[in-house]
Amino acid sequence: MTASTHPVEREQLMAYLDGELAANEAARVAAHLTECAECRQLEADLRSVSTQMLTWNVEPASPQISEGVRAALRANPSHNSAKEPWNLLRFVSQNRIRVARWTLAAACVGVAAMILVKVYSPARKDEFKRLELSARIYPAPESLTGSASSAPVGRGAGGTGRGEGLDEYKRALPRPMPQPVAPAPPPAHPAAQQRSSSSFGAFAKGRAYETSNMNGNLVAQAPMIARTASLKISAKDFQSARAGVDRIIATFHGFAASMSINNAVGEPQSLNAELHFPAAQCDAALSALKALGRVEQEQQGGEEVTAQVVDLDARPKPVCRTF
Amino acid sequence: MTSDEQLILEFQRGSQAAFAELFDRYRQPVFGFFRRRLRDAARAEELAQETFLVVLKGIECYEPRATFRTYLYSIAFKQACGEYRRAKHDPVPISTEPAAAREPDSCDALWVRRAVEKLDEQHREVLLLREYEQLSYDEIAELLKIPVNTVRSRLFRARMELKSLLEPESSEIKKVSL
Repeated sequence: MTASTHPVEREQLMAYLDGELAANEAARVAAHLTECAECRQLEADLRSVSTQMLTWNVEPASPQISEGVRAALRANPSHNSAKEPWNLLRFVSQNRIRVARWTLAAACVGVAAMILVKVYSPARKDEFKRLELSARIYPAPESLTGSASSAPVGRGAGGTGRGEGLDEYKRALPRPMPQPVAPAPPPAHPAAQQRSSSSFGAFAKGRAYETSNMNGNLVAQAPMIARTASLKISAKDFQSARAGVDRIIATFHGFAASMSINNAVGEPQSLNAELHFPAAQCDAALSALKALGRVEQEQQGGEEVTAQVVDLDARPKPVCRTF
Repeated sequence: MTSDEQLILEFQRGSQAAFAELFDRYRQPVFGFFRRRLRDAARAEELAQETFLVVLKGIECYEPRATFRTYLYSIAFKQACGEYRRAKHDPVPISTEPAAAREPDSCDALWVRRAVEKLDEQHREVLLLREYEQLSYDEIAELLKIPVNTVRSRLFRARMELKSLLEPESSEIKKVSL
């Protein structure tokens, strides 16, 4: 069989019999078969081989297979994983990380965020590694943030605690606008504190606090809301996720207020970290952290930290007046 | 009928019934996969069971990037490759297989079995995946990590080789029967 006498190759004919050709190609092969006895013989041979192979049957599978698999299925807690996500750890292979909780914190002036990271190593070889992150976020109201998103903040992993971070962020930010804002009643829905920073701006404009500026004049200041987020994440590779946390810190100009890893034998390996991010970067940082693995659980909340910020704001004044 | 891909995703979301349905569909095919590649029927059963256990335990990692059938047979294929490697280091004597472990092959089945065993290993694998596991060329290529054209050429050679192997045996049997 040559290409000159057979426009259809033998392998193409076989593919036609296997149903692997496109419609136009199949039509061409079928047309050729009607006028080529040699190809029809090849077709018959190929069909014959397949037919003979069908005579090789195997005995029915033993019921023991079913018993073993069904017993494992009954023991697998995946059917209620949503209720008890930690049970899955017993059934997953090595090198998986569970990120359990997040807390991000961003300063009231819109520049700081904090994340707590916790990682557990496997107690047994067939267990997953766990990673827990918890973070608190303190996004600032829009009325005060100004150019906060571009403020040069962050100093990498191993930074300081929350208060110091807030202080640093605050120093890096421009002063609030001096125009006073008329006091207004608080929002009708307390849940407004849990809104995103962009939607929170409207609420902040409607509720203001008075504080003095550098010259001692009273200026209006919106309430500072600390947004908190708790997130559980499971990742395949512990080390990759660990490196991912550092990468996210650097990318989003954050810092780790604390970070600890537990490698105790017989206990799940754990990583616990507290991270801070600029408020403008919080959502992006959260998204990036979520991408480290599968999100098991997420919680968000908020608390007012206006008093802390006012206190921080007041600290430099005596020093300024002294000099 | 619910597709395999829908069932595995349902199982991923927690439906044990979905996995049971998949198991019922593929229990015999997976056992057949190993049975045609191993002489030890008991070992074939063990590997079939282990294949489903791998699916069970790895469900959290499952991503629907290919058909479930390809996913399942890729697991089975890896199990078989591991068994081949172990057999090279610690070969199991054929005589250890219990006589009652499997039904005796018919004459036709025996001819085919012997002929298939004589095929080149690479050709045989492609042929078995196509004829018994009913995988498409693309699925075989994905499973074996080879180009589709290679699948096609190997399959054609395997069939031609098998044809020549089956013919003389058939004629010998015919002579004996006469």
